[in-house]
Amino acid sequence: MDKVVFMTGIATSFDAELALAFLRAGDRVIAAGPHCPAVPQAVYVPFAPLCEGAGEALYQAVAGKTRSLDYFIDTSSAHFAGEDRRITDGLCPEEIIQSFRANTLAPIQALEALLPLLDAGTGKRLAFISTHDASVNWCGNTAGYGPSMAKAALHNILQVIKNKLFPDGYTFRVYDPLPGESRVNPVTSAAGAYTYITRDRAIDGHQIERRNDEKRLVMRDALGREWPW
Amino acid sequence: MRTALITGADRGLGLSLTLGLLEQGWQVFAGRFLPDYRLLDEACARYPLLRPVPLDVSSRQSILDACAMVRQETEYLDMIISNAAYMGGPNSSGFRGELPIDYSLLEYSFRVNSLGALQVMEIFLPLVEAGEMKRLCFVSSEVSSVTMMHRDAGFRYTMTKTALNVAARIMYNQLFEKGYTFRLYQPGWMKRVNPDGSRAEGADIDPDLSAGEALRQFLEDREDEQRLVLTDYLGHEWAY
Repeated sequence: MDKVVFMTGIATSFDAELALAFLRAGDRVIAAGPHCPAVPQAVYVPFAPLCEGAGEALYQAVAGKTRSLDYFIDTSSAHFAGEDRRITDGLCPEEIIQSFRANTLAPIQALEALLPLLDAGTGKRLAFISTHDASVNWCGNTAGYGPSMAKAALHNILQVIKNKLFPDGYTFRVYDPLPGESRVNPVTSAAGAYTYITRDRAIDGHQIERRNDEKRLVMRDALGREWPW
Repeated sequence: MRTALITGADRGLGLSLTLGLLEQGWQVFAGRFLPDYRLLDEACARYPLLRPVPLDVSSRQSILDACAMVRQETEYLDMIISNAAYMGGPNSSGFRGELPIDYSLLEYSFRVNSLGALQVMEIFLPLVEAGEMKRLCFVSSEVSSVTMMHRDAGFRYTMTKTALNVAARIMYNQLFEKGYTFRLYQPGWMKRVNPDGSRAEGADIDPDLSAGEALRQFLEDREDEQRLVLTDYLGHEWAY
């Protein structure tokens, strides 16, 4: 309650339900990108990622609304035409690049820009909406190179960032909302995300150094399962 | 006669792999990119089956042009080894670093190391389809492993190799049942090869040594080809 949440966008029903969950709890939500009619209570700021001065412009826009941030939530899930192409169908390389820009570079640029505001907050929790389709272990698709490669790259970056920022008190969440899974819908999946993002993970009080689950970067889904990288 | 395409063959591991296959009687189409390196030209005098091919894997047109050149000399490929990689540049891919993150270099690295490898496989795939061996090999890295990642900065190269691994997985999902087999190889920290062929100081492993192990793994058939695994120059298996 009374936390300040930054979301990289509110574009899907899941995003909207997640934003509403924070708002219902009494938190403030600042979101980049276009206004979402389903979430009029959020504060919206412009963000044109990868343009000249994009990071500084985002920082100034958000800093104009708050002195600190507690949660950073990346909801990037951009999809592009041609993602259903297999390697034998003729790939669309520029769409794969577009996916990489939108789903990997843009959230990292937003995080880099807003890190001073997160440093000033007390939450220091960084959450990323992802997919097990980016799991090298598990991916079973024969197409969808763009989003899978983009999110896989993001997973690698997150482990590097976690190694850097965990000593500063940052904790991380990677969440697969399982779109298309029959046992969840955007409301229940967002409810799961809210719980997963806001709840602390176990630290054994007797062996704090040895048994601190927050040290591990893991991806969990809307059914509570942990996915391998 | 067995034939292979190797990208990034001007120096280092790519050159050592090229020479290793030539020694075994293969015809090798060797991708060249670095104008300062003439080691492939020197090798041509010793190996009549060596065919250097201009190839910039960051450019789809360059890959298409290279494929057209290769098609003039062969109707099939038995194996592709994707080795070309961009590893240089300033230290500008970390949080709280001395330099801000350079997003254009992140994209370039992805274009070469991830998308470039994918496009090489895509464009040359009809030639592999016409070959007997149907082996697709990717030079990856230990830093592709999210599980084992120990770095706290410098993700420009590392992220691209994880993306490459998942691209290989997606290819595998489609092509394994059609008879294709795959290799993901972690070559170790290799000594840099200078334009005159000498080795720079530092690093652990000579490229010739890593290439020898790579070729053993690339050329031998396995009984467990259904497993897509990342293996290193010691034969060890890495977590993704």
